[in-house]
Amino acid sequence: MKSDYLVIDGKKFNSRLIMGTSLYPNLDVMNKSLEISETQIITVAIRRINLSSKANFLDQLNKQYSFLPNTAGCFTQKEAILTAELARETLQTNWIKLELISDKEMLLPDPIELFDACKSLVKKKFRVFVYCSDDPILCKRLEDLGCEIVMPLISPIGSGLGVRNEHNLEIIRRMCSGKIFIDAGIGKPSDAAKIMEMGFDGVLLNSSVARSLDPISMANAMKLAIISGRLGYKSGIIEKRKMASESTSFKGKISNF
Amino acid sequence: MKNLKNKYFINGKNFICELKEPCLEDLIENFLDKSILNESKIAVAVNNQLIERCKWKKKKINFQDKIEIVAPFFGG
Repeated sequence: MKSDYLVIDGKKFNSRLIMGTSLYPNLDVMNKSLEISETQIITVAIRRINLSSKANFLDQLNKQYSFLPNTAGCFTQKEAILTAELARETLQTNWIKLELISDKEMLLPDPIELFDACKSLVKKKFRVFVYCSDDPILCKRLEDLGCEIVMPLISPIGSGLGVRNEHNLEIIRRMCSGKIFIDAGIGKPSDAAKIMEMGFDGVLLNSSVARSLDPISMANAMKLAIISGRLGYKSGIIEKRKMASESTSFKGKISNF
Repeated sequence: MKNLKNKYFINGKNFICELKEPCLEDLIENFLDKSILNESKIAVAVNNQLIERCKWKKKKINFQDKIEIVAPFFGG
């Protein structure tokens, strides 16, 4: 198969897996999970500086990664835009994973606030990776706005429920020609493989690895699932049929008796 | 000379220090350990507006100002 790079903002990436850095049992497990996943992009939050800890989060990483700062926990455009600007200042990157949620219980994206925030951020020259609901029209509108990557959920953040609306995902993939990642809701490796088989460009995940019994092993499983699903998609999956279609020819079979 | 010991509001808490002519840079130097200031990738907002590092020295601080000092952290 020809090389199958993912290009984001003009940079080539081998991995189609973006990993979160939260919820790991400890730093060592996090570092090993990130390494075995072969991710090249990790998400980070922007938070008030911790005066009691002299250790800098970035210094605790064993490898170099591209950083994708997020606006996790923001409920309003104003909060999200300021967080994005602070992220750009601190990490010297135009990349921002825009999360603008509507409530604390379901953490669902607020599509109205989100759309306007995207407009402002694109205007301010950010490369927006937008976490959104799995509404095909919204995804298309966000793509048309100029978002770098549109990232619909498949189920609520941290739920592990996997794909809840496959039909919507099929429509999204058909309607949007740009890069679409799936962000939020992945529970098991087969969820990731399924998404990749559907032709999505990549997966962003955190909880399904960090909260598993063995995060390092799960990170490996997710990597393999994504590679496998992508290979399957690129290889041309056969169409579904209602009737059987023999794989072994009847020709030359001994006569029926 | 008037009493210059004053309260500032940083990261949601009161911070008391004496500054003659308070500018953002002096305030941050008083608030943060030098090693954190030099090594950490931090960013600062005053009254919900980003103040780029190169502008800290010129940014005058009023006692009512709300200051946020942030850094990258674990996140998903």
